[in-house]
Parts: sequence; structure tokens; C-alpha cells
Amino acid sequence: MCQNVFETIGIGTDIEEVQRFENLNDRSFVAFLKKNFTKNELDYCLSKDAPAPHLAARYAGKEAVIKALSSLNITHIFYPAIEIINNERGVPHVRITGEGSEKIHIKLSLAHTSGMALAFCIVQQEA
Amino acid sequence: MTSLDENKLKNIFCEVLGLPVQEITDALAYNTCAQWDSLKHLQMVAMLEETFDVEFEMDDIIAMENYGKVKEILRKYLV
Repeated sequence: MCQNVFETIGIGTDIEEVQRFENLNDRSFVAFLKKNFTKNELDYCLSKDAPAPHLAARYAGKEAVIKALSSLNITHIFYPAIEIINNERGVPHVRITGEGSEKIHIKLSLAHTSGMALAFCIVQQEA
Repeated sequence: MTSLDENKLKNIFCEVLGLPVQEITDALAYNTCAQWDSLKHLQMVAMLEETFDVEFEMDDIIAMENYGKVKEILRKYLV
């Protein structure tokens, strides 16, 4: 019984240095943002006085989601298909697009200091 | 067929990884180069797509594990 429950659950975590998300004048970094973040994510992060911790936390979140999905052998969902937007209470909500995404339920927690951003993710896949 | 301008490719590696051009060889690999982590990998892929006007499949992005392989995959898209 317990074994069956765990077969449907995946976990993932990631940690990032905030300073790596500070250089908005670096053309390769800007190209990376445009390709891997959604418009909603960029609008949210870039509306902040200090976008870097928010960008770092979202990237850590995407990494954590990918690791959690990979632990369930779900490997076809990549960074741009994972959107992380805070709800009205500030809780990050994950929306994924792609085949079978309607059967995947995701919980994500993000945290950051001025120096580091961290994410932890739990995924449950419906049978 | 569009041929691959390898100087452009090497310049992207130098710019993103911060390495001198003489260190950009076919053997330069994701799992042995300290500067080449997942974030830099995605920056490099984004630069390659912009510079060469291509859009990689996810499996190819994951398969780009060394410079030689990046060249091989990029050539496939330039056909």
C-alpha cells in the first residue's frame, strides 16, 4: 500500500546564488530569460525594485519541478512549459503545459535571502 | 545547406563560460568544466538559437554534453 503511494510522488529541490541573476545587461542572460521564463513571470519579477532574488527563486522553482518530474520518469516538460506565479496570498502556484499535464499536481515552496534562493517541490501523478 | 561558422560558435562559448578560445575544444564537457552548469547551459542554448536562428528540440538541448556534440547537433539544424 505505502509503496504504491510513493510510486506516484516525486520530489525535487534546488538552490541558486542570487548574484547570478543580477546582470540584466548581459545579452546571454537576457536571451536565457526570454527563452525560459513566461511573460507573466518576467512581468512579475521585473516589477520588483530588486528583480534578482525573484528571478533566482523562480529559476530554482523550475529546476525543482523538473527534478521532481524526472523522479517520476516525466522528462518531456522543460523550463518554458513551467510557469510559477504567486497567488493572492503570495503562495507560488505552478502551471505546466504539455502532454499529460492535467494529471500532474504540484506543490512548490520558494524562499530567498539576499544571497541565495531555494525551492522545494512535491509532485503527484494521477494513475 | 548553411555551413557552420565555428568562430561564431566558439565566441559564444567564450562569452558565456568566460573561457579563452584555446580552451574551447571538442573535449570541453558539461560534467568536467566547472563554469558549465545548468544555468550557463541554458544561456548558451539561448545564444545559439538567437545567433544561428534555430530552435532546438528539448532532447537535443539535453544531449549537448560537450563542445563536439554541440557542433554536431547545431549542424543538423543548419541543413
